[in-house]
Amino acid sequence: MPETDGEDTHTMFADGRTLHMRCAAAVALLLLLVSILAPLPAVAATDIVAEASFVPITATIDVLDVSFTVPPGEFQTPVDLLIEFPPEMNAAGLRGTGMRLSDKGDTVRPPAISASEKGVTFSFTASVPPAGTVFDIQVLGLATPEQAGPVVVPVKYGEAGSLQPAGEFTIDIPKANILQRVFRGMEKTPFLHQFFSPTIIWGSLPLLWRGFQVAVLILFVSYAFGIPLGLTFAFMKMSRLAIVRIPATVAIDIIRGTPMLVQLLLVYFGITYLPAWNSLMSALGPLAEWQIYAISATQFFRAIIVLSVNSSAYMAEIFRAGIQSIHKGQLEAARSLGMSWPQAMAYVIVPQTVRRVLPTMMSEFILLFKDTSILFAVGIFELTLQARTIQAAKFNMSPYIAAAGFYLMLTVPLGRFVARLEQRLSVAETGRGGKKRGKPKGPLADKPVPEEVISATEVGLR
Amino acid sequence: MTQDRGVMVHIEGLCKSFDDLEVLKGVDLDVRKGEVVVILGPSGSGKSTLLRCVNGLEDATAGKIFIEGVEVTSRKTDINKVRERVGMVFQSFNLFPHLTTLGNVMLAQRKVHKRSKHEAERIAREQLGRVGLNDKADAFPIQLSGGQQQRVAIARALAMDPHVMLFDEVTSALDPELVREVLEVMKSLARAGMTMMVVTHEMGFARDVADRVIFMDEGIIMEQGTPEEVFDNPQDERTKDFLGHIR
Repeated sequence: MPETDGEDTHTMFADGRTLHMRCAAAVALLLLLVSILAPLPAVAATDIVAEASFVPITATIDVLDVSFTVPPGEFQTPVDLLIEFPPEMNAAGLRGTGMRLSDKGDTVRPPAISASEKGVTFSFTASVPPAGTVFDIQVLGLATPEQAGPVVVPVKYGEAGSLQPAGEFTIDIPKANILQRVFRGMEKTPFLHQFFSPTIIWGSLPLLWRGFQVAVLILFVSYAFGIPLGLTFAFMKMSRLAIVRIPATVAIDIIRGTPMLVQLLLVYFGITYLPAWNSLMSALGPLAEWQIYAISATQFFRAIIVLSVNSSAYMAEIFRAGIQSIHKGQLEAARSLGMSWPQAMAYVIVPQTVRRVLPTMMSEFILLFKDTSILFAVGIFELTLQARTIQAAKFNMSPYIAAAGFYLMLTVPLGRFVARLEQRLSVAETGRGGKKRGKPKGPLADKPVPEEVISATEVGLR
Repeated sequence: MTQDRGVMVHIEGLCKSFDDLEVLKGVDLDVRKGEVVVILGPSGSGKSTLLRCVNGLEDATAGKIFIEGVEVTSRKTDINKVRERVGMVFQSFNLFPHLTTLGNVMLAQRKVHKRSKHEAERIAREQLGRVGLNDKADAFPIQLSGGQQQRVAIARALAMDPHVMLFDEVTSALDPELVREVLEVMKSLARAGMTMMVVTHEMGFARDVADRVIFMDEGIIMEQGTPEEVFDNPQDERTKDFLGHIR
């Protein structure tokens, strides 16, 4: 597609990386990407898709500068330019004015262009080596003007001061749809912009999603560890032996009687002063430094310790109340059949308890999910800290609104599910004889209270 | 300890207190093999506590209980072993609500007697047939009437091959029309030669089935004898008073 001049002709893509050319550099493609639908963080929700058409350009002289003029309009976000060079050129020390090399060896990313600027010029410190070099210039995050219609973008190249036109391309800007107009209206209303900015919410989604993943991961692991721990606490607290019962009682009192934030700060940072912890971590070696979602394993461990132990104390009370809510005749019946206490627990009491505590345990799950938010205090990038960081950068409250949406995404459906479950279980319950006379009269005739009692007294304390 | 070979349950000097409350104040009782003993008495007289002490659901404060010569009240005795031979049926049925009828009858067989699933099921169905509930094997307790639940509870106890059965006011929680079906099962059990200790208020049952009737009050046995002796010619004033009220 692109042409070159002179005797050394090259097609751009096949062998454009060779540097044996003498003549003029070839400026091939100017790629302008203006996109809204792709979920790129840099693209605002108010942006409008405009498809650019490109003119192939054949350069006849050395290129020091490339310049083009973006359409007049409002920039919602700074324009971001991305220029790709063949790696050999970087090796040759090529630098654009005000450009810096990015991590990728063959990419140069100039500083973002301020919103007021309409013209964009790249300058190179030296003339671009002759023909056969491919420039791939992308313009990202360009907000298009409000007026619809075609916009002509002229492109020039050459040396500064003597730029010659290389051609032009046209971008056709479609009419804003209703949603886009509503969003733009919102951005112009100070209150709505401050709390519900579509652009900022849209832009914060990728990071918030990451934070959501972190929160959910910690939630699941903490909850999973909390269950056996909570069961242990529950049985300890029900023990007749004071030496077993008292430590559990004290631990549960302390955990439930102090703010989780205090526990978090104390344990999360305090644990690193314990030689045992440090030797454990060094024993883990590289595993301790292993990262997931940019959070190290040690951070995860510490957070999970706090959350699971904290949760287990609440679970212990749920389990204990659940076990004690089982009619004592059940245990007696099991024992009178010759079953040992552990057998009676395992096959008769606990299976019934599970059904009874299920709704409350799911409520605990929801509570624990919300509690992951306090991890922001120790710098774990979960949902809340992600929102806070964006808020601080943008001086805008909208990320908190978006974060709240993420929390609700899980808590509301789960809460509904718990409510239905409670209803179903309370219907399915009964039939356990008890003090009532004769058969149960109806599904709700013998509705027991354990769930309500537990959730009101045990969980509600938090 | 000398034990008459025919004695199934031997109780001597049994005392039981709950904190300051003295419930049993020295009970002596022998129950012979195959004997049906019905225990009567006003509420609070200690009848149920007596039964519960027999299979170790309550620890005796003083005194001794032997079942087939094994001392229940000794700490060295494995109470679970004793309980395998002592079936108990409760006022409140206490079926396991999370299991089907069949599951209720099979559970302890599997876990205590370690019977195979197949054998446990065979025995469970046999016992359910015995109480007339073969068609309810897959029902959950909540789907059964009180009388049916109580019969399942009896089958559950019988499946463990007990040598003695304890019945603790098993018809008290039932609607009147359901009492009969449970009593019928107990009667057939008695006819089959099961050793039974029955706490009940069903005087008709006591008269028809009991080999011996015991009247208890205030934690001691006030009077005992054949049904005819106790019902028709009570000696003790309180027995007379009680029987007068009951009828």
